[in-house]
Amino acid sequence: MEIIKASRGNLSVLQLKGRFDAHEVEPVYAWLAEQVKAGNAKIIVNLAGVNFIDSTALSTLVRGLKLCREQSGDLHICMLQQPVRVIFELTRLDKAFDIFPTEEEAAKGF
Amino acid sequence: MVFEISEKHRTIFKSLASSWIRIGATCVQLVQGDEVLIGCPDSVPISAPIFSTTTRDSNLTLHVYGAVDMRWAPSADSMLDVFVSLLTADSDLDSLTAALVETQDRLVALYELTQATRRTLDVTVLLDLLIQQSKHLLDVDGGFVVLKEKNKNPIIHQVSEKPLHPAHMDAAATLYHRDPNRHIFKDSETLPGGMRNVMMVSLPVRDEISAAMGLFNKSGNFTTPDIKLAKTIAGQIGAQLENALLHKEAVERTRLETEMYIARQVQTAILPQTLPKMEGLDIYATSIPALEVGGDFFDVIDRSKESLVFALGDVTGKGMPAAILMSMVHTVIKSASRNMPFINPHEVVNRLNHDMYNDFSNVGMFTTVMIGLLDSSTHSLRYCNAGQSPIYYIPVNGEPVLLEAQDIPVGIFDVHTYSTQTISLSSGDIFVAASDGFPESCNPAGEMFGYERMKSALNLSRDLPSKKIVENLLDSVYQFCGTHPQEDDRTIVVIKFQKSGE
Repeated sequence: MEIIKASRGNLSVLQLKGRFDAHEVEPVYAWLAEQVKAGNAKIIVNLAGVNFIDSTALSTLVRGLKLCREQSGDLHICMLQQPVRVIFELTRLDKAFDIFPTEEEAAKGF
Repeated sequence: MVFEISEKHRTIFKSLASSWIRIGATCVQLVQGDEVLIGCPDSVPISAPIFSTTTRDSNLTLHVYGAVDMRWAPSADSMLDVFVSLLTADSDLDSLTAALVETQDRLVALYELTQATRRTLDVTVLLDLLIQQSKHLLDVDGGFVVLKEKNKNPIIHQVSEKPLHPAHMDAAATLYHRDPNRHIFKDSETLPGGMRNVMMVSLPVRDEISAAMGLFNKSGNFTTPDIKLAKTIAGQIGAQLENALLHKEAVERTRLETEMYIARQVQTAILPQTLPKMEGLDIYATSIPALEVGGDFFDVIDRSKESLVFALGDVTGKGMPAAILMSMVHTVIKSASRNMPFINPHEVVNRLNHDMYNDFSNVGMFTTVMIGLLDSSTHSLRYCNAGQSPIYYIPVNGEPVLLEAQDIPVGIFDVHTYSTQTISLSSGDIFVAASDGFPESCNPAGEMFGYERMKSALNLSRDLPSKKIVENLLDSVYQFCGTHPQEDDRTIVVIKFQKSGE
């Protein structure tokens, strides 16, 4: 999986590409924790390039969400491909995260 | 050339000088530049030498003082020639002896290194020995080894009084791997921080691992013989390093296998061995763990003659952490189902979230779960679905319906109110709760079994007993997956409802 770290104004953005599963979660969680520790608790995770997500990857995003909210921030998710959207809907994690169609809308949503 | 003058040289010189003194010389001196190497007698002469002779290449001069017949002057040339030949021969012998001693030292050090490394299979100890000895033999400030294997964290080990940053050692290894025929790097512009010069050699381990040793900051610079020596040391250690790496992998594999074994034991031990029987219900449930155990669980608990609770869930993650949390979740559900005076399944889920939110948060996990309460006296099925999928309801006169979860999984928000849904059951209705290990099973082409195939398989067997429905579904999955290994647990509960008397 490819991980691209970016920023958008005062927001931290993570763009992921490929299979997001148990083998890939470590660097993602490390980055999320690092951002929140540095005071950047408003984070966008762009999943446009992700075609598969497993339960360990989902729990990593949930961990990130909790970290952000503890610091009065939030973790917004955007640009879900259909198979990934289905997993968010089936597990009802679409109710836990604010999910946006574009990165721009995810940024405006804060 | 600087000569070492020994006592033997002085004696020979004095015996040669005494011949000169017999024919009238007052003093004979051997001089190099301004320095008198040997004088006979030792006293400093006051007058200028009567004649002197100088060698062409070694800058040595022989002065003869006193009243000596000039006819003897050519003898001074001969004496100087003889004496210089003697000095040169002795000097050559000394350097040869020194070289032999050094080679001997190196051989002994190499032998000791080989002996020492034979006694250990510890990668760190081995690398430490290798670098220590190379550092000693090649007289450098420090050394390091970089081992890289695809999809693994690199192993970087160094021995140095002034340690280098790991990124700089990694950079030096990368520089070397670009052109493995070049060993010595001294251009300060191309070298990473902290290194004046560095010599890199590869360690002969299996092809999948790129392994290089770097020795840095030698006073003066590295020479071609240094490369040869470093290669010899690396060659001696490579084979043993390979053994140590294989040993490390074997230990790691055994540890993982033991952990997986224990996780499977935990999971198998807590899942129900027998299912309660209730009039009017045909229940079958099973869980087939993957090799690397997931966190699936199920239970069927009878509350009274007419009602029972069934639960099925999936803790995120795999291995021991998932197994431990799963057993805790299972215990909370079991105790709540038996002892709580509830009528709605969501109260059990609320309790589970309340009791275990902190535990889930601490380890960064959560669980999906579906809890159902079936009452055969009222023909009702109440259930709470917190993110569990797939759940199918197969009405007696209709197509199977996928019941999507109403609520988020447990362990995500510390305060969340879960909800209960109700279905009125007719005789012949079937309720199926399963884990995502079924639809997400893959075939060798990477295609998933999916929800549609699962729905069709269930629909085909709907007239058969619960056990047969499960067996047929498992067969379909096995056939679909072929040789592709099972990656996640497959857990399922099937309940067929028959009105009593029918």
